[in-house]
Amino acid sequence: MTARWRNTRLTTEYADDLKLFRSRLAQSGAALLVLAWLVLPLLLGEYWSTILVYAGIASIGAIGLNLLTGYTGQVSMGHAVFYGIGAYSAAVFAGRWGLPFPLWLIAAAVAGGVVGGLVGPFALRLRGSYLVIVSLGLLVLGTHVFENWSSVTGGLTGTTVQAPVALGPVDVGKLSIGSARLSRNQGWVYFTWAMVAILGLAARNIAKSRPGRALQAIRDRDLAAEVIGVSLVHYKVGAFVVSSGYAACAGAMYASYARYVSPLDFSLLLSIQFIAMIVVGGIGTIHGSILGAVLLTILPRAIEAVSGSLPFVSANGTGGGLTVQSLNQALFGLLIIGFLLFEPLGLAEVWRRLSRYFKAWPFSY
Amino acid sequence: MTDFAQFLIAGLSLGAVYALICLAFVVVYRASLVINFSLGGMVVLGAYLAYQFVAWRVPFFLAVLLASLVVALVGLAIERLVLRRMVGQPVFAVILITLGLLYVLEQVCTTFWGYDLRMLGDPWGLRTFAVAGVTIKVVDLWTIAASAVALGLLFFVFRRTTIGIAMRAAASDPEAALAHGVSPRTIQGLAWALAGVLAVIAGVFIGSGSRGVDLSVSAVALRAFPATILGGLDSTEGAVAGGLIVGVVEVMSAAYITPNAPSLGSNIHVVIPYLLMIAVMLVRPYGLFGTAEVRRA
Amino acid sequence: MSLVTVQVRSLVGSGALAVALAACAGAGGDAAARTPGISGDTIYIGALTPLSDAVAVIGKPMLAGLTAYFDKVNAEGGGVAGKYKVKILAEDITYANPSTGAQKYQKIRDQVALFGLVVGTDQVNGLLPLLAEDTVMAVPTTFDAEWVRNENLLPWGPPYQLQAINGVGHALTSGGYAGKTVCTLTLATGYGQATVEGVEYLAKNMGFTVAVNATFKQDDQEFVAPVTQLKNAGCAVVMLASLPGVTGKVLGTAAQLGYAPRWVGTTPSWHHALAASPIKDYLVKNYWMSGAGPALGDTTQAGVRTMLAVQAKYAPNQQPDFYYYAGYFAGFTVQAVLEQAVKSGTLTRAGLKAASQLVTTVPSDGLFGEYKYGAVSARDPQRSATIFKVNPAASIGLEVVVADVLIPAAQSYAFSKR
Repeated sequence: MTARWRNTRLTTEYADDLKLFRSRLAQSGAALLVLAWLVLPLLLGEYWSTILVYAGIASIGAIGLNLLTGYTGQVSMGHAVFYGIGAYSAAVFAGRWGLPFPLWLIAAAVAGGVVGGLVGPFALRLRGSYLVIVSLGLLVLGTHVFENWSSVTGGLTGTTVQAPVALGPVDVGKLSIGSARLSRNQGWVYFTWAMVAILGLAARNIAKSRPGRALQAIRDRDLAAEVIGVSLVHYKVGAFVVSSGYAACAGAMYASYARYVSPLDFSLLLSIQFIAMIVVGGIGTIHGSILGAVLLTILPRAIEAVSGSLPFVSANGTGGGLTVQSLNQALFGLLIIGFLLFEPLGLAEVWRRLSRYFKAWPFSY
Repeated sequence: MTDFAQFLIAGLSLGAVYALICLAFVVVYRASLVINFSLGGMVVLGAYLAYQFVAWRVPFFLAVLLASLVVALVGLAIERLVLRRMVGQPVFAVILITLGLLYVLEQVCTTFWGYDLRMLGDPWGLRTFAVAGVTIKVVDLWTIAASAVALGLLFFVFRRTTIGIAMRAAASDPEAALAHGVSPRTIQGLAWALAGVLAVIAGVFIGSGSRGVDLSVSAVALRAFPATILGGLDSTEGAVAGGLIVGVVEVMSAAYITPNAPSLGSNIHVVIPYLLMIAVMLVRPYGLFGTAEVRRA
Repeated sequence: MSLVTVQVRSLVGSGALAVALAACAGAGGDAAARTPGISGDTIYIGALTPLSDAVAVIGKPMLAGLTAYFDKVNAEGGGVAGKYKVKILAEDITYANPSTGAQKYQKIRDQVALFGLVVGTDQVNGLLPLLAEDTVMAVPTTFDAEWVRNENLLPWGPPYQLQAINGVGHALTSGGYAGKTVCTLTLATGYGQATVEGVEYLAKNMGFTVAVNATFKQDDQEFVAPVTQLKNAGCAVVMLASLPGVTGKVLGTAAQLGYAPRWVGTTPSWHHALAASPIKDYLVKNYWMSGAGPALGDTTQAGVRTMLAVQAKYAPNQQPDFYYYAGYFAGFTVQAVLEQAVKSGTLTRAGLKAASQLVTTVPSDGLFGEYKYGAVSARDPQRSATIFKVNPAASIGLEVVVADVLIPAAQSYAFSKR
């Protein structure tokens, strides 16, 4: 009896740290999530389903950035480029070469990873603020290529994307339960969030095993890590490859869902959004990336929904004053500032504290 | 040849604006090791304020002075209310805070001034004069002179005045400076205020003549990044050198590379400063004039 | 202000609807049973336009124009077809982030009969698959020639290609620039590209070559290089495709360098603030705008007088600039389609689509030329243009030089999918 108590509630063995679900609580939490995944798309209308799809795609990109920034401490403003590479890869691999579903997605992720591997070594020489600005250079260069390599990207006017998510008889755009047909958006919620679960668990595995610990050692003190035998080149470049692969996968899914992409889709704004997501969600945590992506995708839409009752705010600016969109932009900035000032570990820390409280209940700690 | 001289002057004038912005980056970086991403917001806020004071019939130069004062106070407030709490936090966290501030500052501007183009009402207008067939804009001379004066003053302040030496001391070793009675907090507040003033001057030049002021003024900070890195984030000389180099390179590539090498894609002049920056980074990771960080075990 | 309440109420409605629909899991097949956007005697139409970013300069007045148009129709004619009141659900989108267009489309698509206003080339392109899937019509307010042949779109103005052909063509034929060198200076976007396409077509048609096609970026600050390039190439007629914030920078540089070709600008290049800027004298001498409509600001025309009266009554705070007029114009097209659908007795989405192909021409109070609708393959936009010049004293800083300019190349320009 006591043994089970120890095993499920407290960390007593090193093996505990490696487990995916450490307690009954975590297991039942996971079961609840699966239930939500099954039911939510049926309850939400088309609009909120769409928002959930965008939130899921953003989660995958944010997980990728967190593997790089949160686990190795390298801040990249170039994440949007890899997202874009994934999107255009989907357009080419699926739309033009006609690769079937899992293949084009995998190929797009690989394409992003390969470019990440080529760029990664440049980052080795740079640290801190300098790396941030050089990664901005990567973004400028990437945008230039997207705008000018017209035969692949469609240039400034963009390109339509034919990349259906269909495996055999199952087409995510045309799912049905019994005789009731699901809408495309509903099907996409299932697909996107299944992908979030798969890629999130994979990332958690990376983070919890040897590579993850090596990356954190580099983040905390790269010289010390090198001395104890962690290869900087190997792991830093590796982090770039994996992170870029995640971004490209998210980009490919975005392209497949939106069916049209243009260089405007992959701007600095997108990179900044990814950074904000991991800051708000929690640097160096996988579930934090998801929480941050969901919050930052849903919050502006939720504020719009209640904007009628806010003072000084007009829904569309026809009456002058602050528009909801301006308010959202300012809030976006304030959220970043607020979290860094008052909760630097993000939503993940809030979550951890809450779950601690319930775990230890009725004791306060 | 006349054309070349024309481009050179345009490049130097653009470079002078970049130099002012780079100086603003450098001043803050030296005091607190932070890249101030909110600078674009300070630039556009300054330009709008100058416009507003002129619209209230304040004489132009007084309007710029008042705008500088206000933005300096904004800088001081940002440092006092936000950045002071971030002491000891990782570098990227502080960078992200300034990014958040950029969004807030930009929306402050749109809330007050909306999105319509505003004409600044500066005294330079479109006035030009010609020297040996080269047209020289009066505003260009003012821009170049302003950045020269700013550099000279900063140089003087950093080398000769107690405050300046205190600033350098606080940057190089905060603890030792504290032991000698220098308050790093005061120094950082001063640096942010100074950055505000430099930002306003840059913003006024960008919005002068027929260019007008709107939110896009803030984008110039983004274009000045490669110049800052090129010169080195902690070097005032580097800021000016980097600004001028990038200004000239940008105009020259717009003049000679963009029209002659269509295979490189349109508007390659936007990319070339960044390529130059990356190339320099590979050889000198701390810029042309920057100080290399010593890694201690 | 009524817009705000409408928006909130309908959002609450959609929430309830979502729950109601949840039971049957999906709304794929029952679009025919219930017509979205029509409740009793009210027709809701959507507007997707930037209202709080750099392009709000264009989006806000356009929305005000469309809103004022239907305020008038509701108040004075008893509504569309004398019966239906039209309400506009406006959603703010971000020009630089095309996915906001698709998101906002999903937000209101079940509450509107059609979209009366969509601003942004990328935004419209992003909506095309959704419009086709849901059988929804939209009226784009940016003009790309490619859209003339799209069965879900109802563009109403002359495409940029035609604006360019007529503007430059007019300068070369009767504008006093016969045989002079022609160049373009355009923003590096799809809109800029469309403008260049027009000039290149004119060149092929008239047998000359375009000496320089220079481009620039929206955040460029320094224009000495491209302007010198044009000057050195001896360009005497330059087609400009720019945005309000950039035009002053480009033309200011040209004025300072003493370079004075005939500038011909597209409609989005103009902003009335320019007529009060330091370059106003330069603009008066050297700037033409090629646009739609015979005589904006010409109060001898009854249609113009009506339009100004509507603006004074229903949008008194709105400067009646060119974008306001554009939004107002879009109203004519929307009304024509709605009335056709009422006449056919099929006020459904499929009915609206069918109606859009039955509408032949749209009455516009003589404000702009005829756009032949009908079957998609037979559609033909207004091919003529009006040339404006700058007059700081005129209401939008512009006055008509000559109306109904129709260059042969504009007549023969073929609209096909790219």
